[in-house]
Amino acid sequence: MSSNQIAVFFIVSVILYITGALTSLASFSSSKWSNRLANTFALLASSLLTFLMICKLIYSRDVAININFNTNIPFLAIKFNIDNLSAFFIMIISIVAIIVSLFSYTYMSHYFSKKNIAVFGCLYNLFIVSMVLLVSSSNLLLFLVFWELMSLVSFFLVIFEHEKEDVQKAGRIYIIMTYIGTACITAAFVLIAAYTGSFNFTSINLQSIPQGAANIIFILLLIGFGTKAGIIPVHIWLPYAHPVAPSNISALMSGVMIKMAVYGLIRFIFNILPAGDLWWGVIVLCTGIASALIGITYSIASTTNIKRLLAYSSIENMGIILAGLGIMLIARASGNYFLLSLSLTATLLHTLNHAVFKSLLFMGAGAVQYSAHTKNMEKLGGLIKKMPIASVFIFIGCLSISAVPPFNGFISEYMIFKMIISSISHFAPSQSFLLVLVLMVAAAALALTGALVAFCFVKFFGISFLGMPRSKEAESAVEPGKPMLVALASAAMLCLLLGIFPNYAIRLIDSVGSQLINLKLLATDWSQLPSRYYPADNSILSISSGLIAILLVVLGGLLLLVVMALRKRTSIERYNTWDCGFTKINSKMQYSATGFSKSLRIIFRGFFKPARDLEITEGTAPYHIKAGRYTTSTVKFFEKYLYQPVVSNIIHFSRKIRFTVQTGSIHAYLMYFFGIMVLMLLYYSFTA
Amino acid sequence: MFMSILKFIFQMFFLLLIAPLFTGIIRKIKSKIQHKIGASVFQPYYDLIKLLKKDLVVSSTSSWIYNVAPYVYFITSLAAVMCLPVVYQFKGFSFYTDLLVIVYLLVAGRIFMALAGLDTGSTFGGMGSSRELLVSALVEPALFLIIITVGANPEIASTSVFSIYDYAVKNSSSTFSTINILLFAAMLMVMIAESSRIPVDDPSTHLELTMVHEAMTLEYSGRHLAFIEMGTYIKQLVFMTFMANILIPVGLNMENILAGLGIYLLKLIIITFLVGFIEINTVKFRLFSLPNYAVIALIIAVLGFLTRFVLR
Repeated sequence: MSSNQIAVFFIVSVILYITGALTSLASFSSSKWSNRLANTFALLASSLLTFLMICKLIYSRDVAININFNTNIPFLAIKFNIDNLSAFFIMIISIVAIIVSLFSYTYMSHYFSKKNIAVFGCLYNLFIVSMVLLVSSSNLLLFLVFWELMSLVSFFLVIFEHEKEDVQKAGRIYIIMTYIGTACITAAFVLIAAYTGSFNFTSINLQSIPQGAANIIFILLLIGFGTKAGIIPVHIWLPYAHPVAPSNISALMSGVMIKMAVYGLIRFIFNILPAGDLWWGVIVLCTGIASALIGITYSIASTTNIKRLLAYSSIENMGIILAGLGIMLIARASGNYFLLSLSLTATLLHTLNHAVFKSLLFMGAGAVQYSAHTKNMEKLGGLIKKMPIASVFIFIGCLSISAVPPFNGFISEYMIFKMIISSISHFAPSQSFLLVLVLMVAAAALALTGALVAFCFVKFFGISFLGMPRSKEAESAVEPGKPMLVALASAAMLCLLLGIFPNYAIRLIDSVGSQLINLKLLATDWSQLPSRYYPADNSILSISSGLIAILLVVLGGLLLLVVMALRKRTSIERYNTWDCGFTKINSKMQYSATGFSKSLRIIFRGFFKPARDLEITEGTAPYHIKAGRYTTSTVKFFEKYLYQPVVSNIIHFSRKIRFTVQTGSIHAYLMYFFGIMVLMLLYYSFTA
Repeated sequence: MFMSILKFIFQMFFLLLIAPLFTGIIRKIKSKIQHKIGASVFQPYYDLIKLLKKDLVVSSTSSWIYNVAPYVYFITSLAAVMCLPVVYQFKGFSFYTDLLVIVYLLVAGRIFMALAGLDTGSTFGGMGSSRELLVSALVEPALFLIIITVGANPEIASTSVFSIYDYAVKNSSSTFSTINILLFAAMLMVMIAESSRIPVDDPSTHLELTMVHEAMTLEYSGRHLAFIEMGTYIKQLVFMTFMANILIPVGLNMENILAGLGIYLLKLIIITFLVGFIEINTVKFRLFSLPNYAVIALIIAVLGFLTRFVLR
């Protein structure tokens, strides 16, 4: 397929999204139809885009696709340029969008006749198309426009159920944090434009930029995009916004939108800024590792809301991706191109894998909420019997995210560790002690993170799906509708396929690497590398997850034969769980989500500051307890010690100056006008 | 090709056969030191055979995960031990003989067992799962640092068992180097934690305050329990083999396979004695002093790491 055809079909798919948005609005009278139209158009457009981008990455990897429109707005050139990096991210967006659109067919039905589905369908399509156009725009201002569009539309989608108190709070925090991020990005863009005199990526040449300015741009971009990515300590919006949004939106936000920050970081820090000092990479690595570890401990210890748990786990995964980006920057600064391409592959592969399994898990949480009407794990339980098919797919998502071979999380986590091992063995002989120490800490922290992820998802699946139902709602849960199951199944299938055949995904990433790193050898022919480095191929020192899967299946088959033989001689009796000779045990006696994670809260008590409170209402006689209320709480460390002081200081300051600046007297205000005018005149007379 | 597969399968059955022996030996050592006669070293085998013959009682609350978990645990442990170099190395299996793969295989088994603990709706099960996951998470950094110290050696730069093994065979003079001793000590601590032995867990108790692994498997009976026990024996063997053949690379690559097996067994028995002596001389730690235990293991591993990469 030639680049012209791809360009044409790209425009077609964008038009399809917009048609979806408009037809959904137009059919406002029927919720059912606007939902159908919105999802059908999104599905069509996304399928087309997925196909196009895979074609682009395989068959026309050496050409970029340009789409230009002329405008007479100064600086804002409407220029789209799809190179391999953009194509890869568009592919991620559209794959997730296909699955989520399928899911939305039935998922949205429980909002029918309660909410305005037409507006939702319109925003849903706009959200996807703004992300697609964001990654393909090649002008700084255009990028900002779509960035804002994406943020605003996602804000409206987050506050879809705006009549609820917690949704409003989440929306406020989200919009404030988003604007802090956008402010930093805008400042960075202004600096870039000031040094290069151009707003177009392709004509930007930043090689002559002074190091100081480059450092400032780097820090601004890291904070700006880090806010969207949910990097600690600017993560606070994420655990609020993701749980309250409708689950299909959480799946899109967590699967795709936060990946836009990864795109921004790779595009601007890696592709546009010149290779900086080593400390750039070290900073990115350290924040990534900190996010990963803190994110996952929060996920286990501080919440019983299934969607909040997943949101914290997204923080953890973005941390791992950022750690990969850190190694990329370190490798670039030290000129090790092998390590660079390995870390690029690991980072992008984990980005893709996380998009798939996290959207699967969020959709799973949506399915749970849809059929059990609660997000609280303490009210769930026993769902594996009520929704047997859906729970299998969600289980696959849990296995993938816990890096169980042969699912997809395994291969990318394996590559992340390979990357760290390679970098240690590269930097150790050159005596860069500090760097090796940082890498060592990173490795240990990532190992702990990996083990805690298993902890977290045993909690997620074990408490909500296994055991006995803890409430009436959980007891009356039913299997969700077919489109939802198909969506879950296709995401689960993708988890398995990407795990068993990672080489196909790596081949796509190779195209990205060949363009970004600009080193022919690495991109075109991995086999020319020393084989000991290459993690996943058929050389003697690399692993193959497909063959691991076959091995496990063969061993399982053999074991099955043994078990069949043993079965003939024994019988199986089903009986109640052992109740210690007590009365029949009930669901209240099971381990709860809070109890399950208590040990971790105690170990990290300095950080969580767990507190508990027992209120007892005594009856007629002392010790005759009528009612009791037991509450536990943990401290949100960053909100309390970082944000709270800043916010209260700002409020305090504005209260104070309110009566000195805003006196309420018209004379004072006229005085301000006059003063400003004098200042402006002075400024112009001096500059002119 | 055919012969090598045959040898490999023979080795697998050999490992399956010897795995319960070491638990028997540990129990015997403990009894002897306490001036008891103790059960025969083959008692674990008798127990396994008895369990396989017994009928099963399955909790009516449980789902398919409960029934599948013992087998998954067994298979992943078996696959993990096959990753390691014992006596015979079969290059055809290089696609998964990687130290990191071992860790992930063990994680897989652990996830299934922990879920099975929650599946019955019993309080003990949940308690055991929570504790088991906590213990293994705490020692995970030390385990990874050991693997990285072995694998990130610039002359190896890989976690593939083949390159590590080849390097060990070529450099067997450096067997008792500081690095190997430190890593061995750290690995011993990791092994004790991962195979639920004193002072981390007490495998012979059924008191709710002290159980970790046993609480998780409390509901199991019959052949399910047999496969879980076997899985635990094999898991213990994974760590012992790691210590024996990667951290004490003596007598590897023997021409005579039987002699190789003899040396391997001898090393394992030495490690078993070490574990037995540690068990008899310590008491079980409180659950919340386990972070200290894990940090000590981590610090020893860090010292090994620093000796290799910084103090060169």
